[in-house]
Formats: sequence, structure tokens, C-alpha cells
Amino acid sequence: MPRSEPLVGLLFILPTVVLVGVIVFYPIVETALMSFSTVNSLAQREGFAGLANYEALLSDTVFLRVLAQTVFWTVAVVGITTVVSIPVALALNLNFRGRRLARALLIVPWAASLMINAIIWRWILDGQHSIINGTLMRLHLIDQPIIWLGSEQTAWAAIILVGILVSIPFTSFSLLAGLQSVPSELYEAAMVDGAGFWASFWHVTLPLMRPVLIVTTLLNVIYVFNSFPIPWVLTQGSPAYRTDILVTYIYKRAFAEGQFGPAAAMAMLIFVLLLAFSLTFSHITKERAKVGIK
Amino acid sequence: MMKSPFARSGRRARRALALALAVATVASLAACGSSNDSASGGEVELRFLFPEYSAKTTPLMKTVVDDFNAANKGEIKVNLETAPWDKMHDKLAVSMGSDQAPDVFGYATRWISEFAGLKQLAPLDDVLTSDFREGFNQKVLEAGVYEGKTYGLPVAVSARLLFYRTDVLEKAGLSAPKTWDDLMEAATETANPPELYGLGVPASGIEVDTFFNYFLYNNGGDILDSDGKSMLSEPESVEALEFLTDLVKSGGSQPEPSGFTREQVIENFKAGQLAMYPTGPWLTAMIKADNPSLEFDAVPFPTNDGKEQQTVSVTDSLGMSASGAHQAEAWKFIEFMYQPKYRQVFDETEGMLPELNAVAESAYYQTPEYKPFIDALSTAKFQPQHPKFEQIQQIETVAIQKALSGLASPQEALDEATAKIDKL
Repeated sequence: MPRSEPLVGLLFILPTVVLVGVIVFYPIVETALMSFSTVNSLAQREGFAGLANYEALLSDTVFLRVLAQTVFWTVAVVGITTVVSIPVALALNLNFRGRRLARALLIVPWAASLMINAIIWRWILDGQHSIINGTLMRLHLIDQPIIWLGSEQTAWAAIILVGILVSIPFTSFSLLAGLQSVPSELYEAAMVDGAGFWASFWHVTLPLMRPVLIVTTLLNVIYVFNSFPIPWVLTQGSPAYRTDILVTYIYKRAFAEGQFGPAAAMAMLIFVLLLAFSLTFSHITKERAKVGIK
Repeated sequence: MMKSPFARSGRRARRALALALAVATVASLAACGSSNDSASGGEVELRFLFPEYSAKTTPLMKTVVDDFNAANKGEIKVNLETAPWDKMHDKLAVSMGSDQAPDVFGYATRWISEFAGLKQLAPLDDVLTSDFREGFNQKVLEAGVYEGKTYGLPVAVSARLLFYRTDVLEKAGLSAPKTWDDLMEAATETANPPELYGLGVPASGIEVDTFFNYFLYNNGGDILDSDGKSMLSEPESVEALEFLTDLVKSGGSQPEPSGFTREQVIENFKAGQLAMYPTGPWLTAMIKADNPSLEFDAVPFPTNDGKEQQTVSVTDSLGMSASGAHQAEAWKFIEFMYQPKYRQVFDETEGMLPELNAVAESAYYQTPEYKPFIDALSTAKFQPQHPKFEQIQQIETVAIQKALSGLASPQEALDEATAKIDKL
């Protein structure tokens, strides 16, 4: 009897394995194959191309620029989101009237799809008759509408702002969950030892939230790095790739230009980059956690 | 402790049940893949994929398909599928790539060279009778010809004219612009920012290249020569982009056009915030629906002094898959669809120009709103056929964005574009 136990277990996970295989691994394998092939505009592989698609990337100045932009965008959004989410989580952890309502409100933008969020922001930021411009003009802070999405600098500011706003709900909720697991005795003990707000934040809250911070940062980096809807809906990379990130550039190369080979090479590169990042990040943080325990 | 006499068999039964469940799950998953192969007794089923031009497209086409299915009951059944316009290329490419192309489908005429080159489009010359052929506007029918063969029949024909606010220009003491000097004057004189700007210039999103082509063509320039080489560095092309850049710099449009898409600019014109914007006949229908009090008219796009007037025209096509198993039935359906009564309703509802002469002669298209568009088709210039035209459009778009946002001079931007196009 015990011998068939693993078999039953296998059968149970089989549907999941099949699904994950079909939905996750097959596309990865196909993309990898494409990246080493010449591919026609119908995304059919025609022949082996060796490293040609990867070599083409290195001489593609747009790719290098977009890669730098993607790193900048990811660091800015994840960094600011984390810094902003900590006080939000702390505030929501306090006991005040209307706390449930505040928590519910924070979750609303998270519930709407990113695409819808982005489209709404596109109109909020409209260069001629938007809410933001109208308000600023009525307050006489500006006398001409600002075309937020018209120049590289203001467009990046707008894209990053929207990126942060849609990332805050998930991040602050994860941090809130982390906070709730901190036993209140620890704060009482810290208070007895004479620790003020900052001291107990620094020596009790932050160290105990480290595991949650690690997970949210890792997930946010992966989400934000690959966030297609916001940059796509807001600017489509305009002007001249200056507001593209890698995923929007890949989409353009593949689906607007039919260049599936180089696009697949870029996708593989992202895959490897993020995989390497995840492994290094969890390795480093694990080491530090161990040191912390000692 | 007493052992339950059923313990063993109970565990066994549970395990058997679990096993059965697991197997059933896997089996039902596997079954998902193979269901709709069985045809229903002799009836030929056709797949028809058509792009959505508006929310009204699907019900419109459904009427045609239902009528056809009713008339051919038991013999042919057409299944209608629709998809948003900007997903059409992906959808067709993916279905063709996996040998599952629909039997009949609508597509952008500029994709003919790509799809025909990949042997995915059936040439229609053998099935096109001369009677059927003669029903079409011949100039428009030409748009679907590639390397001597007709691959697509026109649907969704448009010609682009310059829409302008009659009241605004009148107030400024100006008449409809005919030359580029007129255009510059009208754009800068009527501007009263931020309430009103002169010419709408969208440099983000789709059709940035098409927008520049109004200037390019009306300065005697072109995108490609007959060998498919770039003409974008020619003096006419550079002059056209310089003119557009100057117009923006002189305050003849919203500053920083890179912040505006075609959709936004159309909204702005409808809302009365722009004096001029060139686009297709659908704008008339939109204005009538959304802001009927707006006073406007449409004229052929101005030319640079003395150059030949060209009207930017775009058609979509209707074609058959080269690999379809039921081409005779598919063609029967296409002929059915091109009855004037169906095309009349479609063209009117979607704000398109008629491809059939019978529709063009109808009272609806002889009104002052539509007559100028029909007349303009005589100077129509369609998009070129090049297997990599999508890439060329992208390159042209980037060049225009660079020049308009000051990242490069028009000459530099277009030289760069030419170098890229000639390497394709």
C-alpha cells in the first residue's frame, strides 16, 4: 500500500504540472528557440540563426537606451513605493475610527485593472483639458496647460508617478500584514527600555519586517520591470523611444514591426536578467538574515 | 484501543476515490483540446473574421451573415468573428502562422505584400467576373492589386480632407487654405491658446506617419521609390518636415505634439479647441453625434505652391485565405456581401466612402458633406506595398517624433530613417 502513495500524489499534481508546463514552460522554450532562429512575420521559425539575434541587440542603440530607461524606471518606482508604503502601513496599523474604511479605500485602485487605471490617467494628464491642468490653472499656479506627456522629462515624471500609485496598495498591504505579526510585547519591552518612536521603529519594526520587505521588493521589481500597461497607454514610447521600457519595446519590435527574432532575444535577456536578480537578491538577503540571527 | 473493522477498506476506498478524481481531472483537461471537429451533416462551415471599426460593426456584419446563412441553409454556414482593429494584424498573423487562418477576413490593404509574399492570400482574378468588377470604383479597386494580381476587395475606404472651423477662419478674415502659406497663416492667426489652437498635430500613438504624409505627398515627395528604396531624404521630404516643424514652433499647433494622440486631437476638434485637422469622413458623423452645433467644412489638403494635390487615402481589404478548404463557398459569401444594400448601410453607419459605384451615386453620398470626399478619391494616393511596410511606418514615425520634439533636425531625422529603411 505505502508504495502507491507517491503515485497518487503525482496524479494529484499532474493537472497542475500539465497546466504549468503548457502555459509557462512551453512559451519559454518556444521563445528561446525563436531567439536562435530566423523568424518570419507570422512568428514561424524558418531556420537556425545562431547568435545573430543577440548580436543585433548589442549594436541596437535603441535597445541599450531602453534597457537603461527600464532600470531607471524600476528603481524609481520600487524605491519610492517602498519608502511611501511603510508609513502608510504604519498608519493603517494604528487603531483609529474609520480604519476599516481607509483600508478598503486603499484597496480600490488595486482591484481595478492596470489597463483601466492607465487609461484614466491618460485623460487626467491630457495636455489640453485635463483635471490636473484645469485645477492648476484655476489656482493660477500655471497660466498655460502643461503637456505632461509631451516631453521626455514630464512624461517620465508622470509615468513613474502613476507606477508608484498603482504599486502602493499591494506593497502597503503586504507590509501591514507583516506589521500585524509583530507581537505588541516587543514594543512594550522597547518602551520599558526607554526607546522612543524612532528607536523602536528602527530596532523592532524594521528588523521584524525584513522578510516581508524582501518579498515585496522582489515581487515589485519583477512586476514593475515587466509592467506593460502604464508606459504603453500613457506614451507608447513617444517621443522616439524615449519613454519606452523593455516590454513595450519588445512589443513594438514583435507586433508592430514583425521582428520576432530580435524581440525573442530581448525577452530571453529579460528572463535571464530577472532570474539572476531574484537569485542574487534572495542569496544576499538570506546571508544578511543569518547574520542578523546571530 | 479498538480498531475499526472498516479502517482498512475505508482507507482503500478513499484512495480509490482520490485516484479516480485525479484521473478524471486529467482526462477532462485533455478533452478540452479536441471538441469541435465534427461537422454537422454536409453543411460547409466558414470562418469570417472582420475588424471592428466601431461598436456598430458586429451587429451590422451579423445581419449580413444571418441573411446569408438563411439563404444557404443546410449548405453553407458562416461563423462571424470580430476583433478590435488594432489587434487584427496579430490575430491574422498568429492564425496564419498556425495554419488556422479564417476562410474570409478583413485586413489593411498595406498588408497584402506581406501576406501574399507568405502565400497566405488567394488571388481573386479567376473568380472576379467582369460584371462584378465593374460595380467598383476602379481607382479604389486598384489599391488591392499587388504584382499584377488582385488580392483584396476594398472595404472601409477613406479619403482624408482638411477639416476646418468655418466660423473661426471667417472671424480671422481667412478662407479655406489652398496653399501651405495659407495653412501657416490660418494655423498661427487663429491660435488663441489654451482655448484654441490652429492645426491639430498628433505625434504619439498610431498614424503619426500618415499625418506627415499629408505634407510629404503635397510637396511632391514620397516614402518609397519604385524599387522600394527610401525617398525620405529627398529635398521635397525634408522641406515637408521642416514646414511641419516650423508650423509647430510658430505656435500653429499645440506645443509638444508628442503628448497628443490622434484620438485626443479628434476629441479636441470635436470640442471646438482646434481650428483645423485633416482626417477621414467619419469625423463628420462624430461631430453630428457629439457636437452638432460645430460649424465646419472639409477641403482637399493644401499643397506647397503649385505642387500637384494628392489626397491621402486608405482602404482596408476583404480577402480569402489561400489555404481555405472551401474557396468556392467563401467566394459565394463575398459576392453576397457586396450587394449595394449591405454596403450602403455599412458605409453610412461607419462613416466610410463607398467602394461601389451604385452606393456612391446614392442621394446620401451626393450631399455637400460627402460629395467632396467622393470627388477627392480622383486624386487618391494609397499606401505603398512593401513586405516590411509596418517597419517602415515605425521608422518614419520615429523620425517625425525626433524632429517635432527637437531631438534631431528634420534632415538628420530623415537621413537616419533612410539609412534604416534601405537596410531592411
